[in-house]
Amino acid sequence: MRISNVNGLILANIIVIGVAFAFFLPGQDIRLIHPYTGAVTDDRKPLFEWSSSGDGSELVIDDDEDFSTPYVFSVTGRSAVLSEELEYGTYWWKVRNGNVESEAGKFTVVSTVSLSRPEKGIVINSGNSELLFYRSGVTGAFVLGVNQTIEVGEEENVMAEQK
Amino acid sequence: MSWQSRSRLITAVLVASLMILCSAGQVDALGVTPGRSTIDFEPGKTIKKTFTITNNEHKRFNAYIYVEDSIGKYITFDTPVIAFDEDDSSKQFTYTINLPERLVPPGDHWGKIIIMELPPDVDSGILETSITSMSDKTVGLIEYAGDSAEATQIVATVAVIHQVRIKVPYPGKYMQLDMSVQEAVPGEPVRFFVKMFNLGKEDIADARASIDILGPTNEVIATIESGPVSVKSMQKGELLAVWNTDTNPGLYHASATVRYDGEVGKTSKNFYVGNMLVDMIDITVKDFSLGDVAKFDMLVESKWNQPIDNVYAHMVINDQNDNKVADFKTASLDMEPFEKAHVYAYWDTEGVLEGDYIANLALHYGDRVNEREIRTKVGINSIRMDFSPTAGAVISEEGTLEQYPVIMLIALLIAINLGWFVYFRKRRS
Repeated sequence: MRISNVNGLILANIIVIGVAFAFFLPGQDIRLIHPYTGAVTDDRKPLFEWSSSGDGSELVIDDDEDFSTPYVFSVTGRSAVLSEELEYGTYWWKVRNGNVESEAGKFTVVSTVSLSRPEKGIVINSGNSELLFYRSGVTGAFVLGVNQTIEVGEEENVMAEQK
Repeated sequence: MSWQSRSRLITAVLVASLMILCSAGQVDALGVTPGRSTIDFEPGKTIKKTFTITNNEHKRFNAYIYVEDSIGKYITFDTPVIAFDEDDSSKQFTYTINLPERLVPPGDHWGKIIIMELPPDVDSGILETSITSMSDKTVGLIEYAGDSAEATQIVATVAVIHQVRIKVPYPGKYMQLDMSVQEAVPGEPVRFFVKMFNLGKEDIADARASIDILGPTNEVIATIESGPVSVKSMQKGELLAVWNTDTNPGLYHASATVRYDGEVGKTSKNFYVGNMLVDMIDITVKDFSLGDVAKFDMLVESKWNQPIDNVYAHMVINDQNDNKVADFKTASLDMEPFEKAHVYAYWDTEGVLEGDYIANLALHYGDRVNEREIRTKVGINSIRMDFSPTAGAVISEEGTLEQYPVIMLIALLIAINLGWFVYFRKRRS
């Protein structure tokens, strides 16, 4: 069958426009990548990753499964890191762009109390929370921030708890 | 030596070197996660909980575990000593809480499970401990008997604590409140979250918040309301209120009043709109002759609603070959909210040649720096700076890349249609 010139022109336009819609416009499905559902992390500023959703997307995070009072962030691209630390607890999150919305993912942020002695005489808060720090021979405690170091005696006992 | 033997020897040396390097950096490290468990009180209930002891540095040691504080007597576990080998990055620990029939007073009751790191050769069978009470806030000191009955050794220890919090409900209706703010830049809505925890024995049917927004002079500039929510006993709830305004950037204060079933509670929080910013508006050099001292007159503007101290500029000028030819600073000044002010810097241009230079200008204010590069042209009787104030726009390159294929396809479409048009015309003619 011979295609007429006009029909050929229309067909060429349809093909090009179809390719544009199929490959380069925002996908109809937004898939959450990280944190994966069920993740437990001590990272209070986790990296959020998802499949491409196009410009004008929103990252929605809530500690309520029904997203009744969510934090909403305008995002571009396929990843984001919050500027503020999350409190400990369980969160649900999703990404939406207009009428397209991903399924909700769930993750938990836990606290970690950790003391390290990288060298003699130095102790560091290697966890993810502010600590109340105790040392033998000293009454009371003081606050040791995350990654903060303190000099202690080599024979000194030290103890810490979450502030 | 055959090549196989040589390669085995090299491999052995490499592995040994790696092990030495790893062990050289070996450190002490002990951790517990989570750092805290929270339990709602239920009379007579038995609850099993777990936490994880971490051994990030993969060393051999014994973890000795004991309890303290008011609810310590309700906590039990099977073994107080857990042995760690180099292969153990972490181990789980399970404990049981046997809640009594009654716990008073209402509110939080705390217990502490202490995890203490001991050397691997300490046998729990001969271990004698002398632990100073935590109420004195001093740390435990371990004395243990060695092989000899008279021998004692003092061991410096590291200990971490897993806190156990039991929430005992209050009679009637009682709410614990907190507030967080999702800050924004001017023009974007600011979202306020009032977090509620119903610590009472009764459910709360209607809780709502009224939030006053206070400006830098403590005046109420807006009041916003949340919708109502209900909160069951010993459950959490949250109220959301949104402030839609294009206010000036700066520090503000939010004061929330929460009314719930005839009771009232309050919470408050400071928050920022936008970022603290001091911008360079203009730089001019007047009455200049090459070889003399050039006076830079820099006009700066604060875009913040609070005073900002210690504002000064630091300029480094490089020639086209990136050689530094000048490095000077202005005096510092303290700026009032939204103030415009002049700062001055001086450059001795003796020996400086005419030509194009690059000035790296850093404007310091508070603990922040606003930096930019400025093309500078030094002439016989003038210094011109190619300067334009900027708010630091962010360009999303990823978005541009994603649009590129679409643009190409549209161009292809136009080309196809034009091609057909030209072809038709030629055929007709």
